[in-house]
Amino acid sequence: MFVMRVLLAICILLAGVPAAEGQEHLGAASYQRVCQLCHGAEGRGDIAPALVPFGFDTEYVLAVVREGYSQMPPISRRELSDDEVRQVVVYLESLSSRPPSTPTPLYDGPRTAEGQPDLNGIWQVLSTASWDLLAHNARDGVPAGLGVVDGNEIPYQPWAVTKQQENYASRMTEDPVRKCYLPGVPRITYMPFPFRILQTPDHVVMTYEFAHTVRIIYTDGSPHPLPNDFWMGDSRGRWEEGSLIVDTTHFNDQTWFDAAGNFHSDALHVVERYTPTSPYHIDYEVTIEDPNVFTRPWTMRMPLYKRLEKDLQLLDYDCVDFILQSVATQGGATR
Amino acid sequence: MNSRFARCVTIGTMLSLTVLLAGLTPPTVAGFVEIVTTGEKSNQEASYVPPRTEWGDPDLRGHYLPGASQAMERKTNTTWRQPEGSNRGQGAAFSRFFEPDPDAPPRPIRVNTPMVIDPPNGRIPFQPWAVEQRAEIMARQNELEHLDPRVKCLPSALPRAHLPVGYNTYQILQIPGYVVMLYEWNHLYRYIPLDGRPHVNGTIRLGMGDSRGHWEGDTLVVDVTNFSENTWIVGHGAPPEGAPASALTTGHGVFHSDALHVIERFTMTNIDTIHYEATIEDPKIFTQPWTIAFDALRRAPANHMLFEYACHEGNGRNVSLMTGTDIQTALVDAPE
Repeated sequence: MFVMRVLLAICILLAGVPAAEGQEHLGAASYQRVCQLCHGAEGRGDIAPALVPFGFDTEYVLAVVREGYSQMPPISRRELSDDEVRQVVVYLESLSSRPPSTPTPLYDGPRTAEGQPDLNGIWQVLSTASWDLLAHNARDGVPAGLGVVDGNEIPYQPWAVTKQQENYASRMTEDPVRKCYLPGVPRITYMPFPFRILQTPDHVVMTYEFAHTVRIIYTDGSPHPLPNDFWMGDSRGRWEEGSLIVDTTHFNDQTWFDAAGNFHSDALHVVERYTPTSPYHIDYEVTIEDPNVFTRPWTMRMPLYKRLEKDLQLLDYDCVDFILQSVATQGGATR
Repeated sequence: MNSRFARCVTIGTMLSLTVLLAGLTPPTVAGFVEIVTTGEKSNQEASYVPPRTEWGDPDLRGHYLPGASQAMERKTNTTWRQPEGSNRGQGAAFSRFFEPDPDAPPRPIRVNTPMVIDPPNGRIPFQPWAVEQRAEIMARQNELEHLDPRVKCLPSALPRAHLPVGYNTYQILQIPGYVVMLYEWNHLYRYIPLDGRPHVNGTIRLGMGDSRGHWEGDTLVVDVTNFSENTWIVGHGAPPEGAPASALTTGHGVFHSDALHVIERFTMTNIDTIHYEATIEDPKIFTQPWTIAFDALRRAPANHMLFEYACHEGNGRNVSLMTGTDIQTALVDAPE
């Protein structure tokens, strides 16, 4: 870290201009010349994973650059000197330390009497996230999708890559949703069913058509309760400018993120940000942390669409009833 | 928080037991107090004026605990006697698993009149064929098809969701135009619109029915139809082991048809109590409409919260023990 600080100071001296803006960094040119083709502009990811927010050690980056990693080829010193790699690290770090790029909400829609953005209504996601969070081609019964994860990479630890592949292979029998278990968070949001948001001054209650699932989100400033584990976690919310931020912990390790076997441990920590962008749209951004399974936090995002049908109400998808019917017709045999 | 948390842990770790207990009376705990409760509201109670919401509706909002133990029906003069040594309702047997909670709010004492106030004989007015059907249902509780729907983690339906069981608590929310009720048991909920809209199309069937409400004075009146047929209307407390339906006072096995129509009346009789009445109409099953009445909702302590009650997730072994049928390996199509 000391070395990087010194380098940063040198950068500032050499450049003779404030280096706070990423584009001013010495490393920017090297990054654009060698790294950007795969890792995308400003490290935001493309065919290769996002590098921002940046959390790697300089020596680790040097090793990966010289030796290659997974799909990434080794890069020689002629192409990118050690010093240039270090400059790239400084550059990426500067991008990471920028204030998050959540824009000031341009939309300032209806507010409740308490001055909170009004999220009341029936909402639904339109995407293929429920099948697979990542980009995928069509399979039998599954439409193709571009994915909803930033950089299209879920940063699994090596063992977890294998585990996810096993889950995927056995998904027709092992997906917890096929056993009618509560789907967890955020999967419940992008199940292909409507859900209703009910807002009071100190709660936001989300009721879902799938399996009459309920989340009671306390926005009264109360902390998470003593440790315990829940299928849907324990949700505490707060209002920040134009957004509802929901912090959810205390999960069990029994749910999946999608029908493709993407998974987590009971250390899962989910932060959801609900930002209305029009009377009919909410920008839904979710950051996932789980130090037992992932190498870094990762983010997915998708719009929530308001359902506008007159007199629409949530109906029933009582999954347990379907289990019982399945047992009645097949004698409890596994499909 | 600690005591509530202890309850939650108990529910979590004892899930298999609590599911077996579905419909049992609350476990015995210290701190009983004398609360006079009858089916009929006294004049004094009826005149209570509840607080108002910001928009002028009677304010029923808050967290609530279930009401007092009370039989559903009056005892019949059946000759059935419980065999020596059999289980007198598992409540007593299982209550030793529950630590008495010194911080628990006092429980109202058992009420000795039946919940059924009409007909006056305190009995559910089944048509003769339906008496037979109920007897068969209760005689075949060891078969998955006939097993108590709540033990299978199907929705409670109404008025069953408001009957006193120790592990259900409630939260009532209101926004202009709606009353919303949340039930801790099996994470059930219902929205009650107050704008006079008609019921959904008769094809639509819902576990908790389709609720439409309005205010009559300070009483919330809710008209509920469109029930799915896989539920029982009532049933709480524990039927004694082996008891035939004719000997029950717990209301178990009271099935219904697609014609079920329930009219509920919620009246706040003091700041801490909501009196509940439900009139049940189903001309395919009963000889006349019948009405139950009791204090169903007691205000909970300030720090109360509803915990997750995942029912089906831990229920496979119970169902397997009770019916010999394995539901754990059954799968449904993923609803993606």
